[in-house]
Order: sequence, then structure tokens, then C-alpha cells
Amino acid sequence: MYDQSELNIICPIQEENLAALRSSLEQLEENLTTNRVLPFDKLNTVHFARWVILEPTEDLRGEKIGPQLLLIVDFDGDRKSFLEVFVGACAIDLYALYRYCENFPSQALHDHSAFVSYLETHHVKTSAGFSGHPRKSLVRIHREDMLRESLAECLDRGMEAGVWEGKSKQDVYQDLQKIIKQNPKYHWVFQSKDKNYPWWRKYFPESLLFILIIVLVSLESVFLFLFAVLAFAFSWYLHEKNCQVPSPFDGTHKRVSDLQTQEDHLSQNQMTSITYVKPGLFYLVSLKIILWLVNLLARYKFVDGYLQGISGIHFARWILIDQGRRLLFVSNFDGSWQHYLGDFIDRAALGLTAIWLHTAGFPKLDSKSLGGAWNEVDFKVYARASQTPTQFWYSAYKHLSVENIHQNSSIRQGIVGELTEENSAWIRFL
Amino acid sequence: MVELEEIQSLLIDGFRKYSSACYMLFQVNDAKLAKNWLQGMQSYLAYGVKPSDEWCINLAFSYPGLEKLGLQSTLLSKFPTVFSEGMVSTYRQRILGDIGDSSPECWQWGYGESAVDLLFLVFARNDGLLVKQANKVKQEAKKSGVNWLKTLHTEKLPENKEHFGFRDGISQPKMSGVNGEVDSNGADSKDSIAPGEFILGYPNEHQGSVNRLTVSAASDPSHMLPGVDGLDNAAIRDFSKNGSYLVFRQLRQNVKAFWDFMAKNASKGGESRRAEDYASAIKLASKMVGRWPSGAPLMKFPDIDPVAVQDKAVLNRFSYKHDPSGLSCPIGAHIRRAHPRNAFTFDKSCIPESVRNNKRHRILRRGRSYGKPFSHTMNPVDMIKSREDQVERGLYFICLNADIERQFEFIQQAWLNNKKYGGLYNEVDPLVGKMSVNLKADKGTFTVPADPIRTRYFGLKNFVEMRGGGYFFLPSRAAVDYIIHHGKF
Repeated sequence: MYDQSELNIICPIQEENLAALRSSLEQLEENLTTNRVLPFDKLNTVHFARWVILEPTEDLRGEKIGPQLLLIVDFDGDRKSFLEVFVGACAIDLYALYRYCENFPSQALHDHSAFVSYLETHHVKTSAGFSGHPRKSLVRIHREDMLRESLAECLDRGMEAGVWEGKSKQDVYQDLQKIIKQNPKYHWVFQSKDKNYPWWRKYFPESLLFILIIVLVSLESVFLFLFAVLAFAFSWYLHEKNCQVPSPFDGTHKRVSDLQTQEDHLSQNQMTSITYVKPGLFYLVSLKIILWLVNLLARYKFVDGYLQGISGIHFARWILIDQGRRLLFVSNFDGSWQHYLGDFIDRAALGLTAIWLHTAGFPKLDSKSLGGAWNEVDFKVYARASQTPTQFWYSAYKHLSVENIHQNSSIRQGIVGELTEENSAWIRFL
Repeated sequence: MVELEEIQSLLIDGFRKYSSACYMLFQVNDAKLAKNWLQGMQSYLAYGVKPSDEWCINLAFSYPGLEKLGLQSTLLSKFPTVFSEGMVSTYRQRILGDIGDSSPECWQWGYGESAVDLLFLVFARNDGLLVKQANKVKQEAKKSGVNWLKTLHTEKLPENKEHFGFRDGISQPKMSGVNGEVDSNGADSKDSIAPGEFILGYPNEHQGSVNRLTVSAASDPSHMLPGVDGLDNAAIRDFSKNGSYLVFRQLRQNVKAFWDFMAKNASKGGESRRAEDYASAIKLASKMVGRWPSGAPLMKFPDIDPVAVQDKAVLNRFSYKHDPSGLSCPIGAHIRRAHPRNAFTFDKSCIPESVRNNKRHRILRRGRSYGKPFSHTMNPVDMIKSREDQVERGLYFICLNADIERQFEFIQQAWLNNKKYGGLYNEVDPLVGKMSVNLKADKGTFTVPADPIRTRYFGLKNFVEMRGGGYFFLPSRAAVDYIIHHGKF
């Protein structure tokens, strides 16, 4: 079983063909909820995907940034073979989009390897990424959902017929296990074992820091370390004080309503946000360090579905683009925008502030009331202003929340394992 | 300190002492005449803690109302989009569930031709006094540049119940410094909420406050409005201070359909019902509400309705800490969704956090019922036995909050209409949630957890339908003055 991978392909668009590309994308995006144009379903590896036009703009220094086409995919397997299958399956649809991009090889419609290598060279590395259900392949998510569905129906029928009247949890469990064992459709339930994370991964960043400190102390350079931290903090303070970058956003009512027309059609939503990194090497280096730390935490510590206590994020990532001039944030989440932002502010304001403080227009820190992401009103305005419409969006499991996916896994583990008092919570998810 | 004398009384008190109430809806035709009339009405409006014992009138404005009365566009543009757009938009209909039978085309008021500009809320000690006050408003409104649209009459039901037969209005947030309980250490008790969650211009539960709606001193030459930060001669004046947003929704309740569903799904078969069939129908309905008809919470009384318990404090002192699986009170029960207390706890250390987050999504409920009760006894057994009577009845849902999106709409969308609430798979609030137009999509499901096996009920209908509504602004005394006098100079 492959682990989940990421695709972040950013291609410059031929400016004169921007309108043509837009209308091609609109054709893909006829209906957000019933999109069937691209055979993502058939690939059976794609969790989420989106195309976004990054509109032409200027950076904070006034330099021009041309239009770009962003493709974000969360999939199972390795990148190279995914791209081969992807191009093989949808060459015509992909060609209809990418022929409007700069330097696109004209023979690519028939020469798939040229197409693949074009896309591959335009892949940008994720700076920090998070998955709400890491290591769960699409096939597994679908299968476990089916399992839950049929077990739940079993229970409905049994209850209707009064089969379990007066019986214990143990009896019910054994009946269910028998039903699953007898059905060849569910052989997989007992076959493949889920890989678990080694225990230390949850403690990875702490232990790393711990080792670092031990090494520093043993080198008698703990003071040097503290000094470095202090120097960093102080130069942050100086930079912040002198930083007079005006906000690049003018959040208007119209903009928010535009975004809202795309939202809340399903119980899942998406956001694409583009912010401008404050100029200067200092901010770029500092942001890279922070993102590296966030990435470490997100991938090695928050492996059970919660990002710093926030449940309901399927996939999210930060990507530095345009040679570090802009920061992209893309996310697929459960529930409404208000719910998502509210959770972020309630539980992860520190992390948000540490990242987006490097960008222009972020609410100022304030010694009295903290400010930053703690300033609920201004932060929401900033978040909305940074958002850009997503032209095409695909979700492979529109009817499942992150919580549902984890619950389904625990049902599967429950039915395979022994039923004990501690290990019986899964029955209530049915 | 909260400036109580500036605040319309409805914000401070639910007015239980006034047994009669009605809501009068007006449209503005002529701003100048209307403002003259409102100037005369100002002295009747009730502000502060102690309105008269006999009657009380409050006044709220919709965005089109403020626009028609000629408030300057620089100020109007500062109102949040949710208020200026109003309750009716494709997006809001989607998130509030105002679709299908609840869509604005089916409303009795509040949409298109019948959109409301002014809302008078009239309360009185008895019906006679109420009629007198309402007539006074209506009489003086004639020839005043406003058009009287409708008067919505309320009905006081026995034992503080709503039409389905459940005691209502038990849980109500307390505002610290206004009516919040202060414990022996002098600190606010943990149940009280920062006043800025309901009254504009005060600190809220985010340690900030909702954006002010300000005007320059030049557009407030008679100095009616307070300066920002309490400065008397400030160059910027605060129009929103001591105001609030009022959400009004007329919710029609289909009592017959509600109890039919319970009776059908609870009895073990046959038309002839026995006492235990009635009991299990009432129990199923109580599982959906989260309380027994008497108001007693399932969390404290999971098996039987302790009819005798009447003390509100007892009925409201409970949490979901010891019931993560919903064995006593189902995860999807109405009161567990609408006010989760500490239900969102992914691990035990986060209970205080869950309570804190919940405090950011509270509302002051000020609604009242309308229409004759389905059965005058308010007894569910009688309701099950009664025949459909085609009488329109329901609830005028009214709530007050400082941020409509973060409070009222959040509760409606993220909790009541959320199919994934608390780890559920595919069910909305059984009482007020909007089932999909296409019932196949969610099958109208409600799950009652039990040990060892839960029961799933299918085929729930929309027992509640939207019949009219809107978003209103409830201004302070100073802001009402400002609205009346603005542009006269």
C-alpha cells in the first residue's frame, strides 16, 4: 500500500489565452456537486483535486506576476507513476487546459511522456502539509465506508426483527463478525493489517528538540543557543517595528459573496488563499524555518486526524511560490467557513500567527489584546480577502467527514479484534 | 460598565412579566414624515432595566429601513454584509435551510413586496393593555409616511411550553455585569457571557469586540452619539454602541405530523394504543428534544420525566461530560446541538476549551409562540389523539446577538443543520433542522444510541417550516435619536 502523496503543479499561462483557459475550466466546472467530466473516479487514487487560476498581479515591490494555472492533487502512490496514469487517462481534457500554458510542448497530446515531464518540471514542493487521515488510501476509505454501511443496515434489520432482544454486546459482536466472515465480499477485512505509526512519531519534534538541547548543553553552548533564540526574537521585533508594508487587500462585499456562491453545497468545503510575503531576506528565512517546524509537527505529531485539536481537515498545505514572494494555502475541510475559521482561531491562533505574520495585511500584534489571529474580526477579514475562487474542485468522498473516516477504521479494527470493555466504543459508530 | 439606560429593554430582559405581546411590521414610504412620527414615538420606547409594569415598546430597523430613512451611505456601508444583504439570498437560504417548503416564495412576509423596514415589538401586562398600545402605534402611523403591513399576535401557552408540548426557554445566557451571577469570590460565574456577545461596543468572548459603526463628528453636529472609547468630544462617534442585531424567524410548527411520527414509530403495531405506547412515543420525542415535556433534561433524568421539578436552575445545571456516546441524551438531540455546553471534547483535558469555544456562539432568545395550542391541555397524549385542525401555529423565533454570522447563523448551520455534527453520519436536527429536499439523500434519519445497539429512525419530515423573517438592528437610545434627526439640519 502506498502512502498519500501531493501534486502542486504551477504553470504560467499565456496571457493572451487567459480568457480561453477560463472558459475551458468553466466547462469542467459545470456543476460542483456532480462533476463527471474528468475520470478522477476511475483513477481510484485521487482523494481531492482542484484547478485554480492565480490571477495576474503585482508583488509587494510592484513587480509583475503573470497569470498561472495551479493544480493541486492529493493522491495515493508516487508522483511519477500517478502522472503517467493521469495523463494516460485524461490526455484530451488536460490538453484542453495546458495548451494555454507557456512552453507547453505542442506534441504532448500524443507524446504522453513529454506531457508528463512538462507537468513534473512544474511541480512545486510543499512547504508544510497535513493530512487528516494519513496513510489511508482511497480504496481503503471507500471499503471501510461500505463495511460500515452494510453493518449498520444489518443492525437495522436485526433490530426490526427483534433478533437481539435481551442479548449482550458480546452476542451482537459475534453475530456481526460471523456475517462479515461468511461474506466473500469482505475477505479484505481480515486480510490486510493497517500499518500503525511507531510510538515515537507522536513525540518526534519534542524528542528532536530534547536531543538538540542535550547536545548543546554537552557542548557547553547552551548560552549560545539561548542567545541565538533571543537574537532571533529581537531582530523580529526590530523588523516588525520598521515594517510598513501596506495591506495588498481591499476586501469588498462583492468578493465575499462571490466566494460564498461556491460554498456549503456539500458538507465539505475548500479554500485557496494567496498572501504576500513581506519583502526582505529576513522574513523569507524566518518563514521557511516556521513552515519547516509546522511541517514537522503536522506530519509526525498530528497523525490521528487532529491538527492542534482541530478536527475536520482532510488535507491542507502551505506552499511558497513565486520564488518566495507569495504564500499559498490550500485546504479541504468539513463544515462551513465560519466553523473552520472559528476552530482555527480558538485552537491554533499561535500557529496561524507564526506563519501569516510574515505576510502583508495580517492583523498587527498588540500587547494589550494579542492581535494577530487572536483578533477574530480582523483575522477573518484578512482570511476572506486573501481567498481566491477555485475554478474546479473534486472530492472523492463527498459524504464522509474526517471523523467518519476514522470511525469507519475503528469499526473495521473492532470487528477484526476481540471485543473487550475498553475496545467496544466502535459499536456506537454503526 | 454597561450603559443600561441606553439599551433597549428587550436586550436586558425577556419580559416574562408581560403576558401579552405582538410584533408590528411597517414599510417606510416617506422618510421625512416617517421620521417625524418616529420622533413622537421615541418617548414611548423602553430603555434600561426597569420599563413600566404595564407595557413596553421596542423598535428595530432592517437595512432597507435604515436606507429609506436616509442614513448616510458612509455609515450604511459599514454594516456587516450579512445585515445589509439580509436573510434572503441564495447563499443564506442554503445555509439556513430556507429551501423547498421554507423558501421565501412561501413566506407570509419578509420577502419582496412584503419586506419589512420597521419592526415594533409591543409587550403588555394583559391583552387589553396590549391592544391599547398597539392601536396607539397603528393610529399614529396613519398619515405618517409609513405603511402598516401586518401585526403578528403571540399566544402565551400554559406552563411556558411551546407547541410541541415541551417547556421552552430554560437555558438562557447571562451577561456578566448586566444580569450575570457573581460568585462569592466576586468573579463572574462560568455561566455568564461577556456582554459584547450581545451588546455592541463591549468586550466579547474573543477579548475583542465586533467592529464599530462609526460616523465623523461633522455628521453628528448635535452630538447625539457617544464618542469612541467613552471620550465625550471624540472626533469619531459610535453609532452601534449599546445596539444589537435582532434575528426574527416565523417558524410554523406542524404539531400533528410531529406526534404522528412519534406514535407511529414508538408503538409495536396496531391502531389501538396502550398506555405504554403513549409513554414510548413521548420518550422518543424527548430523545429528539433532549428534555422531557416538563423541561427536565435527559442528562439528569434519563429514564422518566420528574414532572415535579420546576426550578430552572436545576433544569439547567448539567453537562455532557459523562455521556460521550449519547446514551442518556442522543448526540443529535436538539438541545445538544443548539447549545453543546462541553460536548466537543476530543480528549478530557479540553473540556474547559470546549466550554470557552461554546461561549462564542450563544444567543439571547426572545421568541414567543403564536396560534391556538393543538390541545389546550398541552398534554402529548391528547395531542396524539387529536385530529388535524388546519390551524396555523408556531414560534416567532427572535434572538439577539452581536455578530449574526458567528452566533445565530453558526448555530443554525454548523450545529443544527450539520449532518456531520459530533461524528454523526447523515442526520440534521430532528426538530428544526432542514431535511434535504431530496429525502433520499438523508432519509430523514435520527439515531437514538443505546447499549448494546442504537435504534435508527427514518422518514422524519420537516416538522417546522419558515413562514417569514428578517435581520434587524436594535439601536441604542442615542442611535434612534440619530436616525430620527439625521439629515434634518
